[in-house]
Amino acid sequence: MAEDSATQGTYDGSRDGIVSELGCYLHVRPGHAEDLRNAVREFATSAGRRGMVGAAEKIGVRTLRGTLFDNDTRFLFATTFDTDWDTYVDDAVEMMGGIAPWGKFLQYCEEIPPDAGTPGAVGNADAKELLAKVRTKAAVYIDTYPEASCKKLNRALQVLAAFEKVLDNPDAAEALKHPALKPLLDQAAE
Amino acid sequence: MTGSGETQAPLELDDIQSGALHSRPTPYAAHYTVLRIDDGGAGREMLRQLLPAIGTTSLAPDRDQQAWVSVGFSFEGLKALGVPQDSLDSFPEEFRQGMAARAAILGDTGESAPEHWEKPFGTPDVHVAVSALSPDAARLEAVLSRARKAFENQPGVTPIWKLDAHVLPTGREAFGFKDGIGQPAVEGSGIPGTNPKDPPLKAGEFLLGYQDETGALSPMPRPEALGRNGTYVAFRKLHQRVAAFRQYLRANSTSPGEEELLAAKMLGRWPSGAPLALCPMHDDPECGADPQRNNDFLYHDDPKGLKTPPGSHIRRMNARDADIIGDPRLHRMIRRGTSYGPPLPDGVLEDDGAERGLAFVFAGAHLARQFEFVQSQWVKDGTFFGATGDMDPLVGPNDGTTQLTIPQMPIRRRLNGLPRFVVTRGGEYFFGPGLRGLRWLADLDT
Repeated sequence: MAEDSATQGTYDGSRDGIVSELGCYLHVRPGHAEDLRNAVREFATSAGRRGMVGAAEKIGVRTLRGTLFDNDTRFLFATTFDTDWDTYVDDAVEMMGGIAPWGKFLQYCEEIPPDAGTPGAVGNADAKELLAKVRTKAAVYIDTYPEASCKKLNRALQVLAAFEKVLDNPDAAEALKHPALKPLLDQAAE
Repeated sequence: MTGSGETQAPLELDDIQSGALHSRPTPYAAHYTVLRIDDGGAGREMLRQLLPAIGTTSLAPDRDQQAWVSVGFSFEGLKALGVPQDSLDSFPEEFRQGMAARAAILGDTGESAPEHWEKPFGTPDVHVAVSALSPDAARLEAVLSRARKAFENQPGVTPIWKLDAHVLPTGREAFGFKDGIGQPAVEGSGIPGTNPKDPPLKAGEFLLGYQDETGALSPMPRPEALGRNGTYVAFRKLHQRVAAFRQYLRANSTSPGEEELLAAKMLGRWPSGAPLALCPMHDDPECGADPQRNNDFLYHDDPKGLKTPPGSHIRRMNARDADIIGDPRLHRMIRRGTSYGPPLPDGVLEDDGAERGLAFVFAGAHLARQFEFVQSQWVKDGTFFGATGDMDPLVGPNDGTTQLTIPQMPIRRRLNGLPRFVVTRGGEYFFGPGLRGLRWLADLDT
């Protein structure tokens, strides 16, 4: 496991370009592995695939995963962000309905208060310190698109889809011969 | 819990310094003095004498026509006054470090780096900031003369820096725009915001000890007598390169009208203050002068920024309901800018070497979540709206390699090679206690 325990209690995650990572390595409360597994799946399901994607873009989250390991005694909660995770953690908590929705699965971990899933039991403003205490900075982190934010990638996909529509038009070959469109013509063969 | 409308303790307006919540009058005259405390006892005596001159927020009903004096202390200043270590340790890290140590986060690099700052900024000598703000010079002098008695001829307390600021003859800031338009409403303060579409913010966003937008009480330093009703202040002296700004507009335009449009696209408002959101085609001085209209807008009808570019200054400073990463309400600021130095005459394109610019004041309960976030995410980057690496075209630390995209039909325009138009000359973080806190400091027995 790539981790650097000396970084626990600090904020900065490993970065690649504009993207940073947050990895929280927690201990599962004995006898609650199945509760945790079900709760984290319910969290993902309740957010919904599209809902999560939309929410992720609003809070700068690129990826999010939860993994039980070491015979269900440990839990990895890992996310990656466009920007530093700690810069937007207050925004993320506010915009995802407070800390309670996250607490409903994290409460099955020993490092998290057992009532964290109850609205108001843990203050939203406490999320940053709570996560900082259980996070471990990755020794290395690589992102395939380190300079492209999710917003930029979405924009690129929109432009690509538009370009494909242009290429589907039989008149495209003639139109793309204009010198101003040479960069697009160079991309049109494939 | 953002904007939940939950009730909270009423604001103790008679304990809150005017400088914490009040917006700048227009017109205005202002003065800033920095003091060094060489003797803690003398510093506390100075504070005892200064206290009667400090204005509070409860100067109703004509408080906007009042002059007021405010006082704040840097971390070094609190130490010089003899504040106990337990209390010093309870202040947030960014305040304890001071503004110069946060230069990389704030974009104070290159020419704006602390090693180039005007002394005493960036040194441990900056202890106390006394500021006065008034609708005119006569009332400014009246309140200042009372305050000066407290620190002039007080052995052990030395004025080491001062700055006068006043509205320019144009009524606009040095780049040529009407300013001081956007201010948030604060719950319980009775001070209205300038955007009726913007629900009031929780008082804890600006005052310590009250519920903030996260639902928590804004953190206070110990003891409560010192922390409650206080606020943090970021003061910056910002030099404006007016000639360079005009040269850039001229080099990228083919007519005076295009220059004005380009400047408006960079700011998000026309020179009169009329917002592009309401007046996208041309300036409308009536709209600009109308406080009921000139900030009454959102961005949901302009998602692509065809009217107000997403990278323009005002859309960065307050994205309102635009599609960005994060929640703008967690990063709002009370801002007060006052101009110093002479204006560069109209039409002049060559730099005359004069020092001119803005004395900028931020007031808020969260230096990191508000001021530093805005500087690092909204001023010197554009990832939050999908333009990584782009900076605020007016106040960002641009270096000739950055750009501004101006959405327009049929093809967007892109301004390349943006130079730096604003250079930081110095600054510091201060803590502005409530009046009880000031008395607690004055009564310290160390």
